[in-house]
Amino acid sequence: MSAELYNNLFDSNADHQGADALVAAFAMEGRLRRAARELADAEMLGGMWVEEERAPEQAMRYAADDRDDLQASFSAGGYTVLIQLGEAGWTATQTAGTAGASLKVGASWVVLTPGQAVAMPVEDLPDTVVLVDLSGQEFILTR
Amino acid sequence: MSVAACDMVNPTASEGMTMEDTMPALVRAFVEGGQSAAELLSEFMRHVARVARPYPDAYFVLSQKNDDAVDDLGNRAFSICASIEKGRFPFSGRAPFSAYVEEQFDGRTIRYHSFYAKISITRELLRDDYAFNLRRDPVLRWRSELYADIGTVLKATCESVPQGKGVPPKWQRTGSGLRMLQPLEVVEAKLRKLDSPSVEVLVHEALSQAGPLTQSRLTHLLEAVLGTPATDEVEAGYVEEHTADRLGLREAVANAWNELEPADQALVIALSKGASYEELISVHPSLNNKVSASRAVSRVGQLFLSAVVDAMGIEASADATPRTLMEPIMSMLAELFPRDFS
Repeated sequence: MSAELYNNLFDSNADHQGADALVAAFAMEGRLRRAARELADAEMLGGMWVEEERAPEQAMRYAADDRDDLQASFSAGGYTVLIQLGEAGWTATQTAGTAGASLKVGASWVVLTPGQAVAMPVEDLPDTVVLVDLSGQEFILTR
Repeated sequence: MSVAACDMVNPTASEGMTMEDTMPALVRAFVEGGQSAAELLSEFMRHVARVARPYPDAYFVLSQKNDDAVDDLGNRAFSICASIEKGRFPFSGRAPFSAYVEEQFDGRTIRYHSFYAKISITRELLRDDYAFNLRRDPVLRWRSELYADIGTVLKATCESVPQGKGVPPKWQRTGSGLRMLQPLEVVEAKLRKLDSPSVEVLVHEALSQAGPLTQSRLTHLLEAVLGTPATDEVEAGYVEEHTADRLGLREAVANAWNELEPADQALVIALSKGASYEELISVHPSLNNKVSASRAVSRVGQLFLSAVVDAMGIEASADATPRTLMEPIMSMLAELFPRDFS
């Protein structure tokens, strides 16, 4: 099978002889170059080194605004949850996604009912929230 | 709050504080009359230094973060903004400075696209330097290989969890059910206790205990657990010493390339990009045949790679390995045929 022949060139454990060893070495170098490019891209797109710049910007916004964020929507995997601070404290409202999901907040579980606000045991808006659906699949919801 | 800091974030934040944002006027003067270059460059250096602050050595030229490297970064960012046409939003085929003037961007927006955005001119340069170091620096090459190995495990045994447009996906174990998630520091300690060299075992354990993670986060986690090799333990990564005769290499690569048939060339391009078999076949369907593929591999080995290595006599070097021989050939291909190999 030609796929096996091709993929074998990228296998560092495979034994290649003669000119084929050079082809395999070329393939491994190509694999490494691709990995290098993808890793550098992933760290940039993930904002790995951007965080430090956000803090003072946010702090200065507070100085001008003098209010914390009071609400935010978090989404992933077809689910959206609105977390907001109201008179009853912090609440979470599922606005999209199938029923039966729960939020994991520290050691606590918050059972969601679509469209209904439920109490959230948080003191500030989180950066992300972890949602677990009925099948146990986990989603990291981000703003 | 310092005036400079305020200017960086919101030049009109507070009433009563008169702060003029000079950036738009500086850019306009530079674009329209070539004036204020020194002042604009000085502003650039200040912001680039600020953006560069959290980045580690691996993101800088020669994997060394120092004043010269940061200055070099600032100068290159300035040059790109001044004269390199960029295709992506919001530049649309214009040099960034020209786009800023034509779109009448305010200072904050200019700084955002030049320095502070997740995808800014400055951060793209840092990304490119990091990618270069990841394939040239001996220890960082090890990180790239680890990233590739982790990718192989993830694609074969885990499922991706999309995180939104433009954000790398996270990965999780399939059908893992409910479990207690652990902080990454705890997971790292537990992985160390496993004392396993198997990337697959470590990846699965990490995802089971920490929950969904990105491939890059897993790479740094496993790197911390496994420990990077000392520089004298890794394969020699720098190859310039083998390629003193660049003109000879250029000629050897060009000649050997011309000996190849289209299918052979398609194979070389796919291999150089680390392309999957499916990607290769989509470009050159005739290679979806064992005889054709085998023939192409043989021809690439004999007519191209062996021919170049023989012509250059670079296999004789005592510390040359097949992989260190390939780097200069690949770089030369990118130089000769940028559309196919860059």
